[in-house]
Amino acid sequence: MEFENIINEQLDSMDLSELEKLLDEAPAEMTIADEISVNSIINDLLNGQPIFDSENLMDNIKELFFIEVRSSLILGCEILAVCIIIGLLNNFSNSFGSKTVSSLGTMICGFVIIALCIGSFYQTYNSCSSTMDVMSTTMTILLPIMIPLLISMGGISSGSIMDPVILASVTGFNFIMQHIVLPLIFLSAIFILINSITDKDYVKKLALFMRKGALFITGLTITIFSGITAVQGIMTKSADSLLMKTAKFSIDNFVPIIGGFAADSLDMVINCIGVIKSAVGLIGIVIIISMLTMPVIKIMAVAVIYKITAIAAEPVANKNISDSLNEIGTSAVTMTVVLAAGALMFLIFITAIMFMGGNT
Amino acid sequence: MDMIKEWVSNLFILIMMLTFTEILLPENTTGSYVKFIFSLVIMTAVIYPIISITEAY
Repeated sequence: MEFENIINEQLDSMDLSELEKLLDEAPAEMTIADEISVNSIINDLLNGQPIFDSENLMDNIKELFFIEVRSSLILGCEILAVCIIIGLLNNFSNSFGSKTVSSLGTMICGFVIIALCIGSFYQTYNSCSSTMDVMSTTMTILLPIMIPLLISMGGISSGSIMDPVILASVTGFNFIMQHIVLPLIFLSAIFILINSITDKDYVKKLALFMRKGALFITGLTITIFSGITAVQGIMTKSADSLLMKTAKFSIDNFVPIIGGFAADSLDMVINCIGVIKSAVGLIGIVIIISMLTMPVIKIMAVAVIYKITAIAAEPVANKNISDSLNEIGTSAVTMTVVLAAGALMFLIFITAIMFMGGNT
Repeated sequence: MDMIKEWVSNLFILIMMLTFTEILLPENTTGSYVKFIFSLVIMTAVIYPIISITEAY
């Protein structure tokens, strides 16, 4: 058919090697979709087939989650063992004679718990920040592919305005995440942990304030950046459709005899490029989601372990320790929330480009 | 951010040291006075960056 020829011609002229390289790396970690490429997605779209095997997907995610829970179980057992020792020390405090010995022991056990938690939380922090990096790299690879497609569809002013706006948003968001939000959450976790060895709450409110502040900054940044993008998209869309209508009208009326056919085939080419643009955008979404799924599941498993340890330690150890274990779990969840919010913003960008142009 | 990191690590070490020392204090009036002074020290360490940030303005 004719539209397939047009699509193939356009695909041949495009350089998708970087995107395909990224695509090869992404599902190696997470089998969200087995075999996926620009061509196969376009074929699925044209033939009306679903792109994802949803049943398979859910099974994979469930399996991955339980594997991760199992592998972080060791950490939970270590913490719980130290908590049991603390409980023993508290009960034996009378037989030591002086209170100092037992409270010294409790404190040293608290230090062991802090060391364990900071070690594992630092891994969580690192994986979050590297995921953030990978997602923004995906965006910077995706944009130079999608924006020319958008421009060749007639979205001239959209393309030329969206490119710097989205690129600046992605880079700025990545910078704010790496240098402000994620370190703030990590430092608040340190404060929460040091709180577990003291009798009084010295820095608990400060820690909670830092965590809330990090969440607030994330929300604000996402609102501002996606708001700017959405408004720019709406503004330029009307200008572009005006431009396209003028071009089509002039081809139709000012070129004699073949003008009508030319205008019709122009429409066809534009719609075919639209299909390619959707496919490329879809691949970007798949890459970002599969990049996100792995660390999110990992961190969620660690958070569940922290929460369960807190629940188990509550009857045995003293109140401060179980409280701070609980709060560390919440901090880990907060990290995933921030990460998922970042991914959501990137998805908004991609869909904004996908929906732009096309309806001339 | 480097300044905040330094502040957090200072605060961490300070609280650790003071908690350690608190255990060794005797259980009498002097001990409770010293504990009060320790909490004053921690308070100063907590609010220190607010003063140093707003100093320039």
